[in-house]
Amino acid sequence: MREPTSRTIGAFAVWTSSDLPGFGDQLIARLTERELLRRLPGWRATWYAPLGWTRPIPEDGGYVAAPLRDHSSERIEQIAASADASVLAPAFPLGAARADWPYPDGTAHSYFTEGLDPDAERTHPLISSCVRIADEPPVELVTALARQPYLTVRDRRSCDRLAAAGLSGDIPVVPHPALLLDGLVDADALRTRAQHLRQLGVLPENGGVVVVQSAELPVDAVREFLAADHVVEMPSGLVLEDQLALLNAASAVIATDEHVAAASAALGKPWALFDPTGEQRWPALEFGSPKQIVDRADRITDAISAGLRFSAPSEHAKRAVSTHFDRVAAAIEQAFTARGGDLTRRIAELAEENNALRHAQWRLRDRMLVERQKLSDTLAEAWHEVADAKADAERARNELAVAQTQFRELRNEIDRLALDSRELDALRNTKLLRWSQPVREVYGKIKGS
Amino acid sequence: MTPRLTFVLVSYGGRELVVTCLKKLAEHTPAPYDVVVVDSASPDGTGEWLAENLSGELLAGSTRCLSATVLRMPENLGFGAGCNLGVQHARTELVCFLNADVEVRDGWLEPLLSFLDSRADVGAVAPVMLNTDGSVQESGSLIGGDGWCRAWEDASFPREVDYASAACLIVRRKAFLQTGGFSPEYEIAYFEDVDLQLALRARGWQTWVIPESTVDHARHGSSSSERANELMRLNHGVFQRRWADELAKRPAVTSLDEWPHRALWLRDRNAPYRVLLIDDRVPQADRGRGDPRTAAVVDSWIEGHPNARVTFFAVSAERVEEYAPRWHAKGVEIVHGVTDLEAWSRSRAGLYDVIVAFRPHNYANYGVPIARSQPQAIRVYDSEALFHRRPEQHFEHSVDSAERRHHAIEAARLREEEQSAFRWADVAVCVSEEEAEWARRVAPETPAHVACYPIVTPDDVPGVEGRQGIVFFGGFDNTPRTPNEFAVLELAEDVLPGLRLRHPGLTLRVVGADPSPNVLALHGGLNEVVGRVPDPRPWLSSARLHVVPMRFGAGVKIKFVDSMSAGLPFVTTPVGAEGLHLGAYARHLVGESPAEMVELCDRMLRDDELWSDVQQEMLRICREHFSEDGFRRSMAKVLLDCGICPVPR
Repeated sequence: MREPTSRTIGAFAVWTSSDLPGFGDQLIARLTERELLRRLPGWRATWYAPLGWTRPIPEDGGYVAAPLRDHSSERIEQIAASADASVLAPAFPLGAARADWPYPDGTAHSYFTEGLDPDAERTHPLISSCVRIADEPPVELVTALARQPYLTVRDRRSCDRLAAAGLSGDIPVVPHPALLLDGLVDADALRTRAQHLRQLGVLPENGGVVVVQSAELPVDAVREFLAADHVVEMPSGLVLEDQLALLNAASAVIATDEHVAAASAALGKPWALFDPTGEQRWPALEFGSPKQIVDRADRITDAISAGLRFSAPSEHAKRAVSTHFDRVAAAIEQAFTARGGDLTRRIAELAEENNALRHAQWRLRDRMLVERQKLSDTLAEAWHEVADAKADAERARNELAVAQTQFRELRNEIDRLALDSRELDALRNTKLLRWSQPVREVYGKIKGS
Repeated sequence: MTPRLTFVLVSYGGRELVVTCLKKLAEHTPAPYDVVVVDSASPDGTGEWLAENLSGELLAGSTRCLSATVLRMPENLGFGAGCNLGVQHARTELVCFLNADVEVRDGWLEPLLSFLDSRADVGAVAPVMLNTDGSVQESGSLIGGDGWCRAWEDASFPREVDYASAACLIVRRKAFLQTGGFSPEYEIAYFEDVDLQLALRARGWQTWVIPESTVDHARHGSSSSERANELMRLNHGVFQRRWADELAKRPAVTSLDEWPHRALWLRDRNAPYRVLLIDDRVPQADRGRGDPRTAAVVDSWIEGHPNARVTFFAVSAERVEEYAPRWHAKGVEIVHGVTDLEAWSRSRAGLYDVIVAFRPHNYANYGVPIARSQPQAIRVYDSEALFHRRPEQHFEHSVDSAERRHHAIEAARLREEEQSAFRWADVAVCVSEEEAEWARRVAPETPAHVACYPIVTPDDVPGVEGRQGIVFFGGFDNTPRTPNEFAVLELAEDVLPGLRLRHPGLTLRVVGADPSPNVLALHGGLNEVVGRVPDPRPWLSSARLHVVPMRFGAGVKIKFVDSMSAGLPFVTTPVGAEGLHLGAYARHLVGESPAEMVELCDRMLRDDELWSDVQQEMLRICREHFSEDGFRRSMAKVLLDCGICPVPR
């Protein structure tokens, strides 16, 4: 029997970049939603993204995000009304200039720079979760982030940039959410996707595989250094499941971005990060060793060598991410309460539901006992019948044995009589008897007269 | 508009089929969509032809283009691999796997999308597949323990299925990817779609068949039967190996002919509970005779869980064609016209978790015999009313000794039958606390619940201004000597004349289904026999007073609850007022003799202040005792006593 689905309690929104094709764009959105729903069961999660479902892409895997649309007061009101709080979890850094904005015509740039607006955020707070901050963040962003009840970044450089821009206070640095990747796609599904990729020739049929995120890396050197059978470049256009299947099938991963590095770490794969821009290293330092990160392609084997020594993220880093999501969930609950939501009542409802379940379970158990008793009675009756039948059979067997004995004796008697009969016939056929017959008849008559 | 759906077709030869299929799709699918055709290395050049020709040809008589993304596989890897490749190129929220030998019909898509939009836990939906002669080919299929499948041909109501053919199956893309997609372990075709749907279920996604949507399917349109059988055999082995644990829990399909009840076990095995409700007829919610309450009770069993299997056994086929469809739409199975009860019961042996029998005759004639084949089921007796009280009332009012004897015997028989019903039941339901008390006395071991009748009481109802005349509301069954006929005749003959002396011109409207000849004879002058109306509320909201001199009847009379919820005060007898929680207000509303009723009616017609006070009290009573929430809570207790914890709303 399937577990009943609970009613919706509260609602939160996740502002994602899931309408972009990047691995990190998909990964962070899905992990953020999963981790928060684990902590807020029965809540409704809505995704927003700058373009959302107006520009579906194969890489989004069918996860639908609503478009943020224009930064108008009407739209801000709609978004604020749709949930109790919004969690900002884009893969791109906040505060990038419009020229570097990954969407056409600066779509939704204002949302990720200015937030909603102070009025709307009084009842619908924004929570930035493990975000990155661009170099020289604009004052609008700093003002918007200052309003947030809980703000975390995923690298120290972002922290420093905000401090330099004038945002005071302690900003927690939380490692990449991908460290909690385990179970996002189950093992069976990963296996099936890997088989599918083999069918399509993306993965080789046999042999060890090293996955590289960029063909600019010295592939031959990597192959030789790792004695790998194949070096596979991560193709574009794949859904997250396929990309994870690819990483999962790898014996080592050479990443060019923080997200692939984090996912590889979570999967326990030896990884190295090639970071010529100097930007990807900062988040990676929160879960990896500096020796795994290089900025020159010709030093990649050194990084791989380090990666073979330090592969899995520490439990401490994983706990930090987990604790972070606990805090985000708590902040969302707080927003729910501030909007008039009653968590105490929810607890009372849960207690009531629990009592109802116990009652139903007790009634079922009661019923089960009745059924069990009926079944046992039927079984006991059957056992009696079987015992009686066995006794009958035993009696019949004994009678049969007696009858068989008698039959054998009778048979012996018949055999004996037959023998006698045969002997008598043989005697009668002797010449003495045949020839003496007339004499014996005469004798008989004389004796009888 | 951005498309929500990508059709994925896998071709292996048969380009004409593909084109016909896509043309039908364009003809009958108004919503925007994408198409991906994957050619599985067709040896006859189909792939090449499709790549060249499916690129925007305008369809004759349409604004649509015959365009598709055509992908060509270098070798024939089969249906699953082709679909996986197609999905890899899809960008939409939903994908629809479509065989080239399927022709969609008008209006086929909307019901499927609506259902998906209404149920976030449903991962896949399918239409009913029809043969070319219009007969049902498949309304979902059963998966047996031997790994074979059997098509289900009853397409009367939507239901969760073990599996529906991927010849036409809409799947959420994210759900598809969560499973990993079609398993590459299978050869070319067959069983990979069965596998997929078990994988979906293993991850909490359901598959439903929606009979409102139909498509035509010419089976084996692109593969010879001999080849199909060979592939089936091969893939059957793979399927058995991959799902051995799941299959071990199921009876074999090959055993279904010998043991037909196992087919229903398989059909309903995914339902969280299976309940059989037995009553006179399919509930006709817009009629009287307790039907609206029965309908509300059935609704409670439906609302307990959206996947529950609710089967309604209608003893009579009365108006079944008219009323069954609305129950089918709610996912209720309607059974009627059963002639061999024992055979029918055995065909469902051990199926039900709960059997609910309404009214004593259904308990005796159907509940008991059916329960013999359902020894595991919890038995519920829903009394609807205490039927033995009606002959008791006739006994009291009758002056003829033969009639009195007849009523006494009938009352004793019914009393005995009802006692037996309450003792037979594991759980009892009554409509009033008074009747539940009686049930508890005769069957102290059986928990008796009170669930009367739910009604929505509006915030605003018309006040006294503008209301005119009196109304009588109740059904007549086109039968003489019913309690309502007795009541309306007494009203016309014994109450109205006296009342009209004081209120000349006072009009009477008789509202209710199937008036009998005696009732129809009342029509004329100030009396209007309206007959059946789709909704009594406008009539109750415009009348000044509802008058029902009711002498016979048991339980709560729903007509008065309707009246109270419309803010219409009524005058009736103690029999009529039973269970209505009138309290001190009974002195304004309940009279015994016609003379008393004339007095009470006269006051209610003259005294606006009293009328308004009574109206407010009626609305309060309704909200407190006859609310939907109250009814739902009461029915939740019934379900809990049956071991079912209803899903919170």
